[in-house]
Formats: sequence, structure tokens, C-alpha cells
Amino acid sequence: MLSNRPTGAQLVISTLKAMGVEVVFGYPGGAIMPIYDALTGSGLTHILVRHEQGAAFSADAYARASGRVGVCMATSGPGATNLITGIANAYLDSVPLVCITGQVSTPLLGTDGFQEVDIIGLTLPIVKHSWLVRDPAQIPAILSQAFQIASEGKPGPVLVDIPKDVASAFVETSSEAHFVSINLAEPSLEAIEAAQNLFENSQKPLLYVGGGAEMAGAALEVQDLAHRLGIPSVASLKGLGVIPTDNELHLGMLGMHGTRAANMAVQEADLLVAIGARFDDRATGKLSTFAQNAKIIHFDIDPAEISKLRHADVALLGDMKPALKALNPQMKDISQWVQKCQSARWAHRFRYNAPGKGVYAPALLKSLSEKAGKDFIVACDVGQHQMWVAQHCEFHHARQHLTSGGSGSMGYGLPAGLGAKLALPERQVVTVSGDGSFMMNIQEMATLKRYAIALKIIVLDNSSLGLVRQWQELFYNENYSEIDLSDNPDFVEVAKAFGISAFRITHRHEVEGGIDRLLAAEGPTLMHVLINPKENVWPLVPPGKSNAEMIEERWDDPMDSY
Amino acid sequence: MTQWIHIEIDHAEGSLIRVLGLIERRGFYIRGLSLSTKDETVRCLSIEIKPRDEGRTIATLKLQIDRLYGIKRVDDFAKPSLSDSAR
Repeated sequence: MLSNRPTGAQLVISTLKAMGVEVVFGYPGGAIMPIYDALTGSGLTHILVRHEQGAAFSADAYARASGRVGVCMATSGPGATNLITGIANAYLDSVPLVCITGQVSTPLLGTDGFQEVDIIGLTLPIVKHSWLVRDPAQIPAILSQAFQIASEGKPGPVLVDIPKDVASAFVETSSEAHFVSINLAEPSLEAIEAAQNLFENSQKPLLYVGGGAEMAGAALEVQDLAHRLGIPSVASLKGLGVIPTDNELHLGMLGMHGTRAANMAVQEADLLVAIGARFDDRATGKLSTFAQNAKIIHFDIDPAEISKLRHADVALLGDMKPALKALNPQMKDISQWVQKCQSARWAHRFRYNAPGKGVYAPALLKSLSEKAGKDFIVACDVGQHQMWVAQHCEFHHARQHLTSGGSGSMGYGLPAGLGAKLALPERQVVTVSGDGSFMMNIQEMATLKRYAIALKIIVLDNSSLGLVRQWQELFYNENYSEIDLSDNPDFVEVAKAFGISAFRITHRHEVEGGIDRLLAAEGPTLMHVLINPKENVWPLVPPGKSNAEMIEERWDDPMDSY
Repeated sequence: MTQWIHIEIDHAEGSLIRVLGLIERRGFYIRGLSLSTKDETVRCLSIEIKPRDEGRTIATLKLQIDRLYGIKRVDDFAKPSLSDSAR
């Protein structure tokens, strides 16, 4: 119950509750103390992380997994700057995030006061919008607008910076929180007709599905279109799962570590239908050679994405769901094209009979995916293991694959898994990390322990920065510069020191039992996996090259079978 | 080739730096600018810009500016109009 004269801080808490917030990730400090004072007894669940970057990543994954807005907060200065990588991550992957920062009192602004940092200025390029609150009465109006902007249209992070004196001040008459549901514009009939014409004249159509399709809530409509028209599809890293990856017309991920079937189909298609995808350079390779034979239909909510990198012959702007439903072209006979795509899918399927007796990470991840069930959520870190997860796990919806796509932020996996498990506690959530990434937010094991969050962790340990090592091997004449991590700590002992159950596997025959043990464990548990330091991610499109120039390693006669 | 872009924006704290920062970040030189006030709530900016490379288009930049909150209007011109910039 608010008093007749609430403080700005109390208005922050009451507005968060009015917006339906249940969980906030954060870390207190000097300038945000009034808000933490108001937090006690509020009914909001606050998760005390051990580093503010963890708060931002956890809130990000909470949002990705649940479809709700994530909330994090930190104090001024270093607390705020520690959020920045997480904010950038949310911006580049279009994740709705409300970040609240404490700030020095208004008379100290611009004086280089203790823990004063211009966090508004620092984050301008990576937020949809931001506010420095000067009038505490405006807090409900600003915060509710923050939630609206974060979630409407193309989602993204927003930042609300609240000076300490503003949070402490009593308010006689405050503004009111408003959250207005907006009706999205729909693509024009002319655009739909133009798209229909392109479909009807195409002999080699292909869907290129991005993460925006899931954000638009249009996964079922995309699946329906693909099914009705019988068109093959490829997906970006973030689009994996919009169309279930085990669908026989799904050719896999395109781009730098995409499948040969996907990349060759893109190169040969005469119509590429981009659905909530943004022609990212990791997906397109050398842009001037990307899908050279194709006309482009582009569905997107954001006008600024249309023709930003690749000219769209037809743009379908706005709510993609009705347009996807409305499309009903009379297709030509594309059976030869479909057969060719399916043949390539089979011919270039991944093989798991790697030579040797050590743990082959792709096979482990394939097995994990099979054992964990169709609804399991995987939170990745960044590096080789991230690409292996994308390649070898099956996804049946996009929100089960939490990965730092646009920013490629190492350190995402552990706090992301934590946030996802809190959002959906009944689901099996597994963080897949590497030894390099895991060390970047290893402190969040303390958060797992404190709140008994039953996250399962797999650390694939190649004692190096594997993806950097791979590039140095392939593109820098094997000049291995600063990638050796052979002096890693004993991750099992480290986990145990945090109070987390942990065990290690080192050989191939231990994989199945190890996964079973991990998934069956009741509390937070870590499985440390030693893998071959020389293993590479294949296929690979060399930087600056066309997707048609992908290279891969195959073994047709393994020294011994898997 | 330089072009002029005319922007009307809410008279809010930080609005100018948001617009100017975006133009720089998206790959354009800012060669000159003029600022005026349309009324108590709206500012008018006329900015002379030049793309840093051929891949940058005014059309995309306009959409990126328009995506900012508080933008009322964005137009581009080959040359500035004094009446526009002084409105």
C-alpha cells in the first residue's frame, strides 16, 4: 500500500508491479539505495546476482524464454557500466529489457561526482530510448512508457536513469502509469499481391526465417505457409526452431557455419522470402554474392531493415501474421527443386562417426538434444560450442534456443540459463558453455546456489579459446596468439566450492551416462567435459567469401567408429 | 555529394545528441548544421551530411532517424531551404 505521499523509489516499485513484473535482477549500491529500500516487502522477487552483467544477461534470457519484458537494475557508475554489455546484447538481438540505474543526485550531475557516469550518453547507441528522470512525479508515466517502447514493434532495451534525490523525494501528485496496446499496421494489399506474383512465377522459392518471426508471434503462420506451399526453408541462428529443425523441408542454418544444403539452396533460389531476418553478415557471407539469382520478399516490422543491406523487390511491412495467412499463390510445379533440396539435406547431413575415443562434442550435443526432450531450453555461451549447439540440437520453437547472436557476448550462457530457469521453472534448462566463456561470469554459480536454481551446466573444455584458435589455424598461418587456457582451474572443484554438484567426463563411452546423470539431477549441476583442443567447427565460410565457398572436413573412413 | 536533411524533433533532454550521434554512427559526416525552434515543444534541425562510403544511403538513414522516439518529421533535400531551416 502506498502512502499518500510516496517517494520516487516507491513509485518505481509500484509501477513495476503495475506492469506485471514479478522478477527483477540486480545489484544494489549507493545511488540506488532508495529503490532497494522500497523493494523490501514489496512482493517483487529480486535476484541478487554477483555482477551487474549477470543481471542484464539473466533479464535478457528471462525475456527471451518467457516472451515478457525483462527487468534489471544497478547503481550508478560502475554498476551502470557493468550493465552495458548486456544492454548491447539485448539491442542487437531485439530483446525487450527495462534497465533501471541509480544516478548521483541532480546537484552533482556533471561535477564528476563519486560514481557519476553519464550512462544515458554511454548507452545512446544501444537502447531504443532512455530517460534521465528529473521529476519524481513522472516516474509512473516514464516507466510505463519504458515498458511499452521496450516491447512494441521491434523490441529492444530501454534505460531509465534515476538520480538519488529524485528517488528519495516525496511526491504529492504523481503521474499515472499507462500501457496502451497499439494496433500494428498490416502490409498493404498491393504488397501482398506483388508478393503473390513473385511466388507464382518462382520455380525455386526458399524461406529465410529469422528471429523476428518468433518475436512477431508468427511461428505457426510461417510453418503453415511453408507447409501449404511446400517450400523449403533455411534459418538464421536466431530463427532456428521457428520451423522445427527436424522438418523434412528445413535445410538448417545458413551462413558462416550453416549447412551446405542451406547455403547452396540460397545461392540457387530464384525467390528468397526473408521473414523477420535482417541479412546479417554472418548469414550472408560476401553480400554481393548472396542469393544472386533471387528476387527478395522481405517481411519485417521495422521499415529501417527493408533494403538496408539487400534490395527488397517486395516489402511486407508491419504485422506479418495476417500477410502470411493471406498469401495463397498458385505455385508452379516446384517438385524438382524440392527434391534437389531434400537430396542435398540428406547428402550433406552431419556425421557423428568421428575418429578417436575422446568426446566428440557434436555427438554429445545431439545426444543431449534427444535425451532432454522437445521442450528443453538451451542457453549457449559464445564460441565453437555455440555453433555446435546450433548445428546439432533439434529445436521445435525459437524460444528454446537462447544464444547471443548479434553481439556474440561471451559470458552470456550461465546468467542466461539462470534467467530462463526462473522464467520457466518447470522446464529442463541447460547451459552449454566453453571454458573461455564460462570463466567470464563464473561467479553466477553463487546465484544458482543461493536460490537453488536447478540449472544444468555443460562446460565443453578444450583448454583454449577454440573459435579464435580455429581462425588462427585457418587464416593466420597457425600463429596461435593468446588462446591457450591450459591453466584453467579445476571446474569440478570450483563448482563444488560454490556448492554446486559437479562431475567430469573425459571419454566417449561416458557421454550417454553423463548426460543421463546431468538431466536426472535435482539441483544445479555441472558436467565438465574434456574435448579435443584441435576440433574445429565445420562447415565454415571463410571471412569475406561467398557462402558458396564453404569448406568442410569429412571423414569417410573413420579410424574407429563412434 | 552532400545533402541536407531536415528533422523536427521533440524539445526533450538529449534529443539533439541522439540524432547527431545516430547520423555519425550510421556512416555519415556532419558538415554543418543549423538549429531553430518551431514552438515550445519542437526543434528543427537542418544538417548537411555526406556518406562516408557508397554503401550508405539517405533513404535508410531517414528510416533510422525516424525510428528514434520524439522524431516528428524527417525530410531530405539536395540543398537547404532557409525557410525550412528557420521555421
